This record gives sequence, structure tokens and C-alpha cells, in this order.
Amino acid sequence: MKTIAMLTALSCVAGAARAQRAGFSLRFDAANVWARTDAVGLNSVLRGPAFGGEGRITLGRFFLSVRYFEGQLRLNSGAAQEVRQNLVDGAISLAARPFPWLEVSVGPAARAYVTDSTTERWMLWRVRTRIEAPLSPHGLSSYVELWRSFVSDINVPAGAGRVQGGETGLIYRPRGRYSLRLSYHLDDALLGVPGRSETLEAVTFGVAIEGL
Amino acid sequence: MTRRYGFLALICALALARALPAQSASELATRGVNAYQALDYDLASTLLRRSLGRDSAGGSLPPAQRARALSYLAATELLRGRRDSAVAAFRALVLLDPGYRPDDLVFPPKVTSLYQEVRRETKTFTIETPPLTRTHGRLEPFSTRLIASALTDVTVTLEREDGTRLRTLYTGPVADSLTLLWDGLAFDGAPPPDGRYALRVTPRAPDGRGSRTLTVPLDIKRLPFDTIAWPEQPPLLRERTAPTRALGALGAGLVAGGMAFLLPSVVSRGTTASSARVVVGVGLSASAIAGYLLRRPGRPIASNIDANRVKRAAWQERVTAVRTDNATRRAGASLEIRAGAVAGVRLGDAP
Repeated sequence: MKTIAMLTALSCVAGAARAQRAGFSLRFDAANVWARTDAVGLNSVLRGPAFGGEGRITLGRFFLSVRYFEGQLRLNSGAAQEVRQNLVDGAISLAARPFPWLEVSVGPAARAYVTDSTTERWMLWRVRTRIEAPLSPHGLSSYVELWRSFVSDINVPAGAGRVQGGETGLIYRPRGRYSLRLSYHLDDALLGVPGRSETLEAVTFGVAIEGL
Repeated sequence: MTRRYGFLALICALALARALPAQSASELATRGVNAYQALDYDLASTLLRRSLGRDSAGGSLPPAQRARALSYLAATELLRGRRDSAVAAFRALVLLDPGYRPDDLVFPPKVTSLYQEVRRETKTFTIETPPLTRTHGRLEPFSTRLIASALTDVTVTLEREDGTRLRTLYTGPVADSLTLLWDGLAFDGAPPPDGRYALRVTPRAPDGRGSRTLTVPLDIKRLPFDTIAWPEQPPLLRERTAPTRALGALGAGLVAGGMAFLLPSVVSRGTTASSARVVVGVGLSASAIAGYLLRRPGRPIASNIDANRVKRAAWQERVTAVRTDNATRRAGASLEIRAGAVAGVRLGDAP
């Protein structure tokens, strides 16, 4: 089913590519990340910087984007032994923009929390909706996006419930090819163990180059 | 059936009989020109004279070929030493076409200079009028061309059939040719009613001798005139900010800012979130308010005002042009003028 959906989406993009010239854009992100684990008798928050970026191919009203994000999180507990965790997050998505203000995308995403002893891997297929609205005639706009996974799998602990998230932010596009972005991201997963959830928050500052 | 075929054959025979002499005259002229080029002037003279109808069996050349034949005949006679015959041929040529010019590359200078001499002495002129003209005042005036063989003083008038003068179009000299324009109006500034008129060209000889007038009959008919429609006003850009866009921007920004605060409740059922989201939320809300202030209703949009000013000026220019054009169209009526046949006149022939 996933393969059919991806093939259909790819054929749409290929059709659009034949009809229109492709454009390319790149975005570099720097973020401060909070990874929170809530379970019975356990509440921990790891935080740290993360860096990454996104490349996007535009074909008319369709987009194909690849995102990668990596950071090192630390437990800020004041204990003698510091807890470290590496965060690696990536996603591929196919998006369509039926209206200038609305974008809908679908695609796989993967995330890994890596410690010295274990690696927690997430594998998701998610659908995302994004709404963008201009704030001023000088290139300032706001956006809100919400997403939810329709297939999810987490290895440690095995299984996952619903995984969903959202993002809101501000984009400034002055005249030219560059744009700036400030955003707040939050996603939440109910894991296989009852009562346990993991939340990832990020405040991100990004610089994008469009029309490459 | 047999009678029908016989009738058809008779028509064909008559048509052929009419075509043959013309073709014959044309061939004679061509042979005459060839003989001239072969320096056989006696033969050239004979053939050209026959082609011009003096010796041929009633066939006649079209005017252009006739003029060519006359020019070769005059050159032939001059080169045969018969100057008087050459002068007579050139005179006939000038009377046929006062504007004719023998080719300097074909004829020797003594031929062309004799032609110029004859042309100066043979004071004649003609008028070229298109057979049908549709005029419209000064925008599309009636045009006629006066061609004189020598400097001639003329008066050109437009008259009714009974001789009453309607308008004097020109009084003065004509050296070679002159194009006259008539705006379709009479002396009183109004277009003449439908009817038959005459364009009369009256020459006045320098020595004061009497003159013949050249008359071109004109059938004048008024046509209903049409004015140009006013140009449509161009679509203009909004010059002041609309309330909907400002409120829309404010709403969108506040919703996005609010989402930064509400996202933990919406997505993760009230998980304690970091306070960093406040930065984004406040930033979005502040941007929304700034956006509203920048787009607040009724605020003038300078770029649109400037663009509209250019559009309005261009439109106003078009309106002025149409107004002027229509005024001209109203002042000058549309006329349909049909001209009859004209002929040249020689001053010396006057009684």
C-alpha cells in the first residue's frame, strides 16, 4: 500500500517535471532541542543543540524534500555522571500545494536516539498539513503545520501508539533568494509501554536559499 | 441547338476580330522599337507610324504603349534628320501624357533635350483623379493630382452643375505636378448635398491669352459618419488598504502565535513544555500586530497610487485624442466621390 502510494505520488511529480522546469532550494537549520521522556516514576529531559537542513525540489505545485537533523543531547540533572544521547532525525516527503496557502505532504521519517548502550529507532509514515498566511506586504508570513503518523514502529521499547506533532513559525522573505525562519516544533509519541510517552521540542532558526 | 452554336461562334469571331488589330499594333510597335535599336530608322519609322494607327487597320495601342511608340518615333525621325516630324511626334506625346519622361539611358541627349524643348512649348496639363474616393474631412481628404508640361498658372474650383462656385481649391502656379486636397467642405464650411459637381481647372497663360477649362465631372454622395467610441477606463489597483487583508493578517499571525502556546496541549495532552516556545509565540503575535498596522484599513498604497496615476494619464490622453478625432469627424462629413473622364488641354488652341 505504501509502495503504491509512493509510486503514485512519484508519477505525479514526474508528470509535473515534464511540464515545468524544476527549482531547487536549500535550508540550513540550527536548533535547541528538548527530548522529554515521561513514564511511571521516570521523568527526564535531555537538551542540546542540533543542526541540519532540508533540500527541496520544486516542480510546479509539487515538491520533493529531504530533511536531515543531528544533535547531541545531555541530561541536565547535576549528577556526577553525565547522560548523553545523540539524536538523528531524517525524513523524505512528497508535497503538493493545491492552493498558495495550503500544503499537504506524505512520506517516511526515521529517528534514532543513540546512547552508549542502546539505539532507539523510530520508523514512521506520516501525513502532514501546513497552512501559510502573509502577515505584512514586506515578505513576512506565518505558518502552522500539523502531522500524524499512520504507520509507526519503535524498537525499544517495541511497538508504538499514536505519534503526532506540529510546528508553528515565522518566515521572512526579503527581496532576493534568501529567507529566514524562526519556528517552534513539538512532537509526541505514545510508546508500547503503557503510560510512557516521548516528546521532542525544538526552537529552530533557519536560513534558506531559494531558486537555485 | 445548331443556331445556338452558330451564335456562339459568331461572338467568338467578333471577339477575335477585335483582339487581332490590337495585338497587331502592339507587335508593330515592338518591331519598330527593334528596328530603331538595329539602327534601321526607315523601317522603324514605318512600323511605328503603322502601330500608332496611321497605317494600320484601325487597331490602337493602349496609352502607355502609345507613349512609348511616340517617343521612339520622335527619336527615329530626329535621327533621320526630320526635326519637324520629331517635334510633331513629341508634341503628340506631351498632349497624351504631360508627365511623360523619355529614358535618358535609352535615348541620346539630343533626343531628350528636344523633348524638353517641345514640352516647354506645348503648354498642356492634365489632372489625375481616382475613379472612386471615400473621403472623411481632413482625416481622409479627397486627393487629385495636377500635372503640367510647363509652368502654368491655374485656378482649381469645385462647382455645381449649373456653374455656381462651391469652393476654390487652388490658385497659383504649377511647375510640374501638384497634389490638391479637398476636405469635403464648401465655402460655408458644410459638406455639399448629394449631386453632380465638376472639378474645373482653369489655366491662365503668361501672355494673357484666353484659356480652356479642364472639367472633371464628380458625383458626390454623403455617407453617414461614424465616431470612435470612448476608450474604456483601465482597471485600477486598490489605492488604500482593505480591512479584510489587514484583519486576515492579524488573525493568521495571532493564530500562529497562539499555536506556539497551545501546541503542547493539542499534540501531547498537556505535557510540560519548555518556555522557549514563548519566544516564537511572542514573535509571531508581535509580527501579526505589526502586519496589521502596516496594512491597517484605509492606509494609502503608494506603489498602487503611482501605477494608477500612469494608467489614468494614458487613458486621459486616449480620451483627448478620441475627442479631437471625433470633433474632426463631425466637422468633416464622409463623402463618396465618383470621378468621370478627364482630358488635357493646350493653351495655344484657345479661340
